[in-house]
Amino acid sequence: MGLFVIVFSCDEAYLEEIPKDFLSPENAFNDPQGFENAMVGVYDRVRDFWEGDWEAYMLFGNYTDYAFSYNPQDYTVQTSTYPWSEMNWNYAYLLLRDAQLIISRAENENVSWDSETQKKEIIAEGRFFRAWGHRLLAHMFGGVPIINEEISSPKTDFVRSSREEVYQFCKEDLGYAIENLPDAGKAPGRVGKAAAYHLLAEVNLCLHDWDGAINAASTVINDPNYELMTERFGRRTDMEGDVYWDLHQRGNTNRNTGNKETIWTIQFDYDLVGGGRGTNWELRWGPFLERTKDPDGENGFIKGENQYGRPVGHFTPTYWLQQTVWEDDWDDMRNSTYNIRREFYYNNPESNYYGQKVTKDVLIPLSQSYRYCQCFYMKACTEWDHPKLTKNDGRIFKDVYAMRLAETYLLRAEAYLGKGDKDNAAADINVVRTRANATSVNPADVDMDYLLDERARELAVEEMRTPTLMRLGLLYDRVKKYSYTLWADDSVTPTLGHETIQPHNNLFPIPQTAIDLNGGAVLEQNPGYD
Amino acid sequence: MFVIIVSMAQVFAINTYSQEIRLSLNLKNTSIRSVLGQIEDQTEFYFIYNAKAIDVEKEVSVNFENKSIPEILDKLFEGTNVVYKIDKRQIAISTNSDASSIQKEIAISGKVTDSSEAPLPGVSVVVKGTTIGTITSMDGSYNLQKVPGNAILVFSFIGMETKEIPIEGKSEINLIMEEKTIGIEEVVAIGYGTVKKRDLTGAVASVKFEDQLLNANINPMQAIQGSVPGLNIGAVTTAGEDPELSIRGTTSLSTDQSPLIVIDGIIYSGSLSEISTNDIERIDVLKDASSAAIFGSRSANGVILITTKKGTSEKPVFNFNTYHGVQSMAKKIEMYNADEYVQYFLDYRSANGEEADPTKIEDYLDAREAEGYRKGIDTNWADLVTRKGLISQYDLSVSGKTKSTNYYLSGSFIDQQGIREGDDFTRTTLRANFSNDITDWLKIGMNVMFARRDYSGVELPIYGSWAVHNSPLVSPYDENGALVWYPVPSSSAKNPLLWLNAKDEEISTNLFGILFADIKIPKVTGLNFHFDYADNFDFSKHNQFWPSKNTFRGFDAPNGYARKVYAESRHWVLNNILAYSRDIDKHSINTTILYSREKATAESTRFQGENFSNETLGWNSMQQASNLYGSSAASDNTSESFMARLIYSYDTKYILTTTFRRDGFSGFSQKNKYANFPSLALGWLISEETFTEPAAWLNLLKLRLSYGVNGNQALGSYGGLAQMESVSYIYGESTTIGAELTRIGNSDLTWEKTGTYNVGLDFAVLRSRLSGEINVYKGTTSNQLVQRSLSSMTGYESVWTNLGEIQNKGIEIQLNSMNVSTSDFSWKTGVVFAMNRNEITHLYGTDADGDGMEDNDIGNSWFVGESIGAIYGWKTDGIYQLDDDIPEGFYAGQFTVVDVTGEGELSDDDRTILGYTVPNYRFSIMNDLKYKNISLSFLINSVQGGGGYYLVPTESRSLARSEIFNLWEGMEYWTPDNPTNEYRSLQVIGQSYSPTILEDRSFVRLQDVTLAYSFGNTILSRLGINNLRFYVSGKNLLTFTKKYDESVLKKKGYFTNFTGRDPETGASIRSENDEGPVLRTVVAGININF
Repeated sequence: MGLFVIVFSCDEAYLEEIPKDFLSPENAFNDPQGFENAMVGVYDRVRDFWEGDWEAYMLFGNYTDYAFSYNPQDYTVQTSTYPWSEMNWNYAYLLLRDAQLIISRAENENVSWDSETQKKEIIAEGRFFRAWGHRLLAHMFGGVPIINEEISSPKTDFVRSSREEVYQFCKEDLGYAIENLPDAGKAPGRVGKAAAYHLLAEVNLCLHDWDGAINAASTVINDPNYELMTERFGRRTDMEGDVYWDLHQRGNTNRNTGNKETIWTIQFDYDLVGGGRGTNWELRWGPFLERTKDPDGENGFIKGENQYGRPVGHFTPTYWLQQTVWEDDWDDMRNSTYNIRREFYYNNPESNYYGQKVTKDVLIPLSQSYRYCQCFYMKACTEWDHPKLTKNDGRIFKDVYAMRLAETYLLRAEAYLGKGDKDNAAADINVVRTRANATSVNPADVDMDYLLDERARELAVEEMRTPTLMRLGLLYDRVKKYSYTLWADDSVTPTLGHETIQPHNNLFPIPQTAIDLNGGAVLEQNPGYD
Repeated sequence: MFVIIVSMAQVFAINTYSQEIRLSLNLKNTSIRSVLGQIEDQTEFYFIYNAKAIDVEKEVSVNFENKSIPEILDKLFEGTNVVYKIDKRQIAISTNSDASSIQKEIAISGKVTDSSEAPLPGVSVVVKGTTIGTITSMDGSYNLQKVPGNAILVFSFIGMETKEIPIEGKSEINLIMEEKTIGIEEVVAIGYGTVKKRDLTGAVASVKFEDQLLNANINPMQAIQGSVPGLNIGAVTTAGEDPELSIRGTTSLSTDQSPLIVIDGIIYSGSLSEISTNDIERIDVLKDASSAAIFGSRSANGVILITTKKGTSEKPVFNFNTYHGVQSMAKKIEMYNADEYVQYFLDYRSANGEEADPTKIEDYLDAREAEGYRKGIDTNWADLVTRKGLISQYDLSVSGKTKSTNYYLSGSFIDQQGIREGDDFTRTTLRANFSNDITDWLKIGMNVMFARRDYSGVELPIYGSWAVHNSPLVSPYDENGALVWYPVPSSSAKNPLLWLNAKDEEISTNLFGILFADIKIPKVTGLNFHFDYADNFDFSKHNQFWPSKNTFRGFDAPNGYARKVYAESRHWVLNNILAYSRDIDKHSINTTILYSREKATAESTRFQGENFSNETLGWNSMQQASNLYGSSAASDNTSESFMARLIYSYDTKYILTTTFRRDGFSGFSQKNKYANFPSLALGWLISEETFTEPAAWLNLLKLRLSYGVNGNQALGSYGGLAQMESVSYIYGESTTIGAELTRIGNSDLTWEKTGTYNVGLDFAVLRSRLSGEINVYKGTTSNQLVQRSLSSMTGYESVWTNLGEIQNKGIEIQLNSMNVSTSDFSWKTGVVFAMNRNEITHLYGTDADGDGMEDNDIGNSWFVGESIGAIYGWKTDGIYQLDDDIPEGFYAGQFTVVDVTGEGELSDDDRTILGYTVPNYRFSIMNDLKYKNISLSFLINSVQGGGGYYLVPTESRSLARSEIFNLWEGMEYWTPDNPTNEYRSLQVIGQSYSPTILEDRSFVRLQDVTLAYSFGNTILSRLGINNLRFYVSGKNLLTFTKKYDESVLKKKGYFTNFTGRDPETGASIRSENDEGPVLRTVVAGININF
């Protein structure tokens, strides 16, 4: 009966909990590999902004000067319980949580780093993303609560910092990131020094530190590793096209394909674990051909064929983005038929009009907007590269640019413009235009509107247009100016967004749940949303 | 002649044994009686002697070395007239004068009656230590031939105290048997020990398993449904299902309500459906906090103690039981037939302003429907997926005891078919309970159970977008005989038969063994050490294969899809129990000290494959799949417990029980690994007091008071830890697996604690023909484990915290009455009543809206000051009729919405608490009737609402064409010609505010009925059979609901017009949940005992 044990002391060790099938921060952050693992989470979080479904409406220019929805959005419904601004708020704070965890835990003495440099690199990468997230929040919401320590207990007393404080906080993070990040990212898709400079340029613009912005942007522009692509390159050079088209082909986005223009790319792939859910750009930006009838009233198109995937036209480009923005120079490479398609040919073999061009008079009786045959920015499509397994759900799997050197030029142009140096601003814009074989702009014609037009020509679809306009405080102005519907009969009408937007919509409302659950302190709402 | 039979043993015939066995004895100044006792202990002999004739108290001193029995006896009785006779193992000792009479065989007869002097038939009369015996006849008389004149007769009868009467040479023995109804001498399990009911201070309900065996109850809990007040057992809808259990009210906002199950003293982590009902001796339910506190941190939901059978008689008892029967739906699923459907469809069109010309019906229907309509197809989809299931069970057991060994061996097999195709269950159980007295101070035993449960088969889906949404006008097959995916192509309803060709194997195997030892500590009277080691090992596998053809999965897995899941778990328990009990004068002390450790581990592997190159081999050849995915999981937890209990009673009138338990559990945070659970209870046997003596009608009156603290650790393993989940990304072309933090930890997390007061009264009156028990309790559960929502800035959605408080109070009454007891006819009734109220007294402690009152959690329907089961929503008081003043946003035929605030405008503020899902009260009535050889028992069970309790929200039918809702189920609809105030119109357009429509689900159910016939004893005894019974038994035969409506009854042939599937499960008609109607079972069986 040796098992007869009566122990009147508590055996704490016996009750110790060791997780068996999941990691916890206690066992995950002991060595550099643990931090690398956590960094995967950070990149995955960032990718959320592109993978988002309806919430992505809010960031990539829908309801701005770029596009509107077929289900016309009324800006008055944008209240504090509006789900889409809340989703982006939540995405950003999830990213900040993960980035902060790395920053905080890296300082833990128990971590066995190989070298001090290794530790600093990891912290620098974490701080890059902390800046990226904070600055995005500041663009969208103005001043927000700053996350600068790991949250390990149920905190309920967050308060908003001013927008400037947030940008200043980002600037400090980027200073550290620039000093400690490797020159190039550790792997394709990872950020290096250039990304931090590019982001610093943007943050400095927000702080009206024009010289700081110019310096940061110049560091990238002057770096011989980065240059605008001017010659055909990549995997489709045997096909007809141009260099701008090459830039947006699947497989041509990472530096190892010869692309020297890319600074930081969000990674997607449909046949690799970790390849993400893809973007739904094609579904959103593409014309809803499937609904287009031939002159006999029969289906003119069949969906899911290799060429266009499954476009549904949720984002209808405004009249401005379809027409106006190109009118100065219709021969701009970025407006080539490779890059923007405006003519479509019936592809249903059963149609009597198979192979024939769709004519506008067919579309007029549909009494809808031009959605069924709207112009198609082809960078939102992966022609010939549709995954078979995901069927026709409209998602595409090609890497997307989060930062591209062309934008760095435009950021520097913005800084020169802020400084009043229109010559240099025009010079930078013309670098971008020259590559596109477009006519140069006259310095006298350069102003913020022109710059935003140029960003549209160069960056439409790619760019988070809404935050760009919000950081400039110009969302309201641009919507009022350009949010018009183009109808199949060439008539133009204001969108509902145009009718209902008000100046306070230049910022999103702070989500009501964030306010309600923050019982320990008051989180102020943005003006106009009470 | 007075004869004492000192001991008994089995009969092995070896005549030379007495010569061969050699003994050594060295005893000084001891009685002859103890010398004989020593010989009995060391050998297999036993002595028979007449203590009056032989002076066994005479003191002797003996010293034998290696002597045979005759040598010893010769020496021992040297110089007296004592003689002995060795016959096999029996040694008869007598004086010369009576040596002949002691061996004489005589005839004996007599009559057995009960306390009212009514004859008792069927009483077993057995000569002790032999297989000789008989059973009393109809007039209570018995007659035995050739009985040794010195034997003892054992009289036993169910419900009566067993009596042993020495014959002493008499030829007639009449006996009045006493009823056991008071049962205060009965032993009750209280956890880590037993206590006589007399000394019980808590609320413990006991159910002895006797006639429960004659009902078709797969799960032991079903067998006691309705017999314990406050133990709520849910209904069962599928084969082999475990019913939902709860004791008293809901104590927790988030965690499980299931009571702790303890089998033979071991905390059991498996499923109750693994246990064969026939192996159960009794179930004791610890309801109040003071009783349950013995199980500390897991006791908040009450404790169910299951004791399995042992051998009870020296004669081996074989018991064989089998039944066979049919299972059907307690409430049939009624669908529209083709004509009703067409009418419904036309009404639907006209309600929506569409043309509804009966002659043009084919134009309106889907093309496939129109074709079916022309061909006269009338498919009943519910009939296609359901069936009458068969059920059969076989049980065989043998039990017995010898002087040192006790055994019970059993095996059972069950084959059960649920009411839907593919719902099949088979179970095999084996049990061996053994114990042996190795020495007079050490007893070792082992209880082992094996169970194999097979749930293989894919149940065809009824609800959701399956059977009930399909049109009667279409066939499930196309013209080539292949299954159609969407029987009506324009609707989203799928063909339920698509599941038919899926292969499914789901088997779990459980091995549960308890090794125990009982040691009487030498030299200290009453000190006992008990040790248990128990291991419960469970292995389960679930394999599935969907071929690409004709199956549901085939749709998105073009070349087959397979899944293989293996899981195993193990739970071991180590108990060390030191018990001491002693009676000194009027003081009686019973103490127990426990130290216990436990560990539970679990792991599982899951493996999926798609795109098979060859589908023939299915899940057995996963390598045929070109896409393979795998995942695995593992967890463990440990517990450590200390417990001490003292039961002190004075003069058998005043009883005090106090317990203290300290529990440690790995799942709680570092700061709160341990917690303490004390309890105190007092009992006063008023009927033992001298001042109550004059009241002869009062047989028992006992008052009990108790308070105890219980815990709930149901959060499980790792609940307090932050958790990271795996995440993946690609850098360029290479996959990288990483981790992200998805759950915030809480290092302060602790147990839910419930403190409960209980006042109880036990009584028995009128010669114990009426007895009962009343308990009143009030409990408060604090530190509620809830997932508190966090603001998004934290990066987490929620965190487990301890917040809030819930109060439960209630009353429970149990009455047992022996209404009639005559020789031919007896009638017993048991009534059980329970009522519980719960209330959330605190939630998060916040007042964000600044109204001076604590905030409610509307999202969870938790309101401070209301029951957990509150139903919150807009209120209706009927249907807008054509000539009503209909507000804007509503149409005639829609539900009205009451402007509760009276602001003249509807808003969110008009929502109120409309009622409660929890019952008002429950009751059940059990009746046992016996007339001669026939017995009938029936149990009526009821759950009642009233006053806004026991309601269920019931949605009106969805009217979208893409979602044909095709159930009859008493669903009328409003039309201008049928201006009902209960059902809405078929108009598709929604209303601005949708009220919550509630339905009362009070019901009275004839839950169990058993009719049995026992064969006459004369025939049986000749065959050596103790008992042979034929029986028929039914379950859930009739259900009456409050909204009883005769027209419904006539039309569809059932007694309920509750629109949902069953009032007890509460599944409403529109629920997406695929839970079906409750099972009705009718079986016929035979039970032989020999």
